[in-house]
Amino acid sequence: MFRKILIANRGEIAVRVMRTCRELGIGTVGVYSEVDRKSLHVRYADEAFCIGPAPSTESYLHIERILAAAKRSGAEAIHPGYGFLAENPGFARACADAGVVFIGPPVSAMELMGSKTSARHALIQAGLPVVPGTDRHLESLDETHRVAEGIGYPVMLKASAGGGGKGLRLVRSAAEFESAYHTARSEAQNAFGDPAVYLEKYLDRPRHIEIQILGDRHGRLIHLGERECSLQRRHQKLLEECPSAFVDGELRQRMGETAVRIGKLAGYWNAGTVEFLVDQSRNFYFLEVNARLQVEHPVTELVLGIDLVKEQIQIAAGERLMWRQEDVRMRGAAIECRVYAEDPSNNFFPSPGYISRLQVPAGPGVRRDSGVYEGWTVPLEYDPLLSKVSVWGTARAEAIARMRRALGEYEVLGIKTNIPFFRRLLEHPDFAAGRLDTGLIDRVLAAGLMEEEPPSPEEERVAALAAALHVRGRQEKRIPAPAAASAWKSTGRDAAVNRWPRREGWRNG
Amino acid sequence: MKLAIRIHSGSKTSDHEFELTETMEGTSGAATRPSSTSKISFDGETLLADREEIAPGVYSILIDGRSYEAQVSKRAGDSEGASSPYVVTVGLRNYLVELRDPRRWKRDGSGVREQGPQEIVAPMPGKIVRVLVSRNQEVTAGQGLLVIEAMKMQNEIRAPRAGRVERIYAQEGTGVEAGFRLIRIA
Repeated sequence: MFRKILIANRGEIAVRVMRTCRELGIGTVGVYSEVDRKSLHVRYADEAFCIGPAPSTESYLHIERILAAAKRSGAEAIHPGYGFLAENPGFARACADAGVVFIGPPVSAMELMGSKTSARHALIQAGLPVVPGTDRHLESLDETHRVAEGIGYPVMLKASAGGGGKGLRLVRSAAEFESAYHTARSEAQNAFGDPAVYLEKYLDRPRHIEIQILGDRHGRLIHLGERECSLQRRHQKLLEECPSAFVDGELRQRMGETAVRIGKLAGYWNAGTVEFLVDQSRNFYFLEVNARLQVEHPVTELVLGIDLVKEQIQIAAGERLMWRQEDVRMRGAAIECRVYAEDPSNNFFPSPGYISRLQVPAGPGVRRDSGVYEGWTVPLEYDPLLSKVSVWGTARAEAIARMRRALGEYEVLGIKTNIPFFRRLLEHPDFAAGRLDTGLIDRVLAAGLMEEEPPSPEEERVAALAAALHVRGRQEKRIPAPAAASAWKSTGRDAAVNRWPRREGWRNG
Repeated sequence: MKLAIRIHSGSKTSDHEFELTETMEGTSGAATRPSSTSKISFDGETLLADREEIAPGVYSILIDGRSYEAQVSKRAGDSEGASSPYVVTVGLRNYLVELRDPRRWKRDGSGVREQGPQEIVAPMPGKIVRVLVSRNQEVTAGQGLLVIEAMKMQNEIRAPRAGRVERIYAQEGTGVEAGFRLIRIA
């Protein structure tokens, strides 16, 4: 077993991986960019090294600097987390060349599955189901446009090197094509350093359901059931569940076996995820393989009682998988909400900044994976993911009630988060009934999910009182000594700094 | 303190008369009535509210034993101070609360202005990646004006109403802070 592992990532996932290392008695090495010096993962790590300036290309994507930190610290293995270099075969190869174990799948599997186009091609050859579309990069706007016309609108433009919702654009008609093409390519270039895009047919109201796979280096590969990931906005997952309310034992077995076939086809080991779109008639189509740990892995861990990071580390160290397929048992239900720094009442615009207050949920069945703390400033250079709240319940209804309770306890001030959005979504009848598809979030938002409910008269009184107390309190701080002169008569600075008159002025108003 | 209060909740706007009086501290009633009790008059109705500031901007309020927590903040881009409205979150609802001294009341509202020039400000810090309109261009409500990149996502800023692009302050490739002026629509 390794004695020291470098975690080539930041934020909640870096902390998550370090937690398991600590349980296993393995030393942790963190890396950070210049703006991340005060980040939680740096504070949590046993050792930490700066790897460059804020832009990812100069730090978290900078292979030589990360390997230099590994060498300097004596780390024997590198866990890449998700995003950044996690699915970069060049990085895995560079690790091997430097004599450091890459905790992830073999390079050959990453190369085959990492490019969505080559993965599609391999699956079509093997007779496995894929979504209609192109299985190669498209060279020009004209060619891409022609292919889109051939498949028929609506189509989806996707970054070949992509993931995480970046470089993805839905095109509903020819009129939207050119602008979507440029945006997708520019996002792909910025996020992955590669502007290549391809096309897929857009299915109507599909579910996004994925299968977790886990394999050792000795030929055993199993699946760990599904995760329901249909609730997305701008193709970014927001809420995930295990199990899916839509998947019964028979469908789980069919999808699981297909996922294992795909993994074996790629010569896969370590943890991975096979994503499928599932239509209303329970047909499923291969979407892509995520050759890494997923953001939403906690829901699988809660329902299966398996620590996936621990399995990843043991597999990378050459150990045999201790689970057989028949040992895998699902128990209860889990839900995860991804808490982002964004403002749901203002078009979900990003909201980086200073966290002035943080009160976190706790109590029965609640797990929180976080990369933030009170008094920390969320930088604007990286993903807006602040933390993940996951809950476990004996059944889906209990998990939902528990998530409602947990999010009601979660208070973040100074920046905006999407917690108010989740609290409303969890009350929505379609969510409660498990009627989910990838378009549900857009539909409920368009139908006014975030619009204000009818005001309650008592809450209006409370709001008025709170605002009045707040203004008065702020003024007492700003103007400590009450002046004899009335604010009405003061001019210049007072009026400019604060157009609000002083208390003395209001009394006899 | 006597105030005219305007509350926006969703599409509803209502005006109220409000008065806040502190109860006397150190009187014979002090033992049974904590000093944090406020007497408020709301449209002529009087009630007692026990209030504590739990953290900056967070108030715990008890009205006749019913417990509320209210968070007070500013909208992105609004100035500090009472001249711009406060967003007060109570439970699942947001209330936009404007406070005015009654003698200074002006009916200018705070929402979308239909007439006169309107400054579009950056709702968050980020980088201007594209300006989609040009000077003197006529735009329709909801039309994309420019694209700001922040936290790895590109966000389109749309016109709040129809009009003509009078000025463009934003420059492609430059960074902006929340509240920076981007475009003026006349």
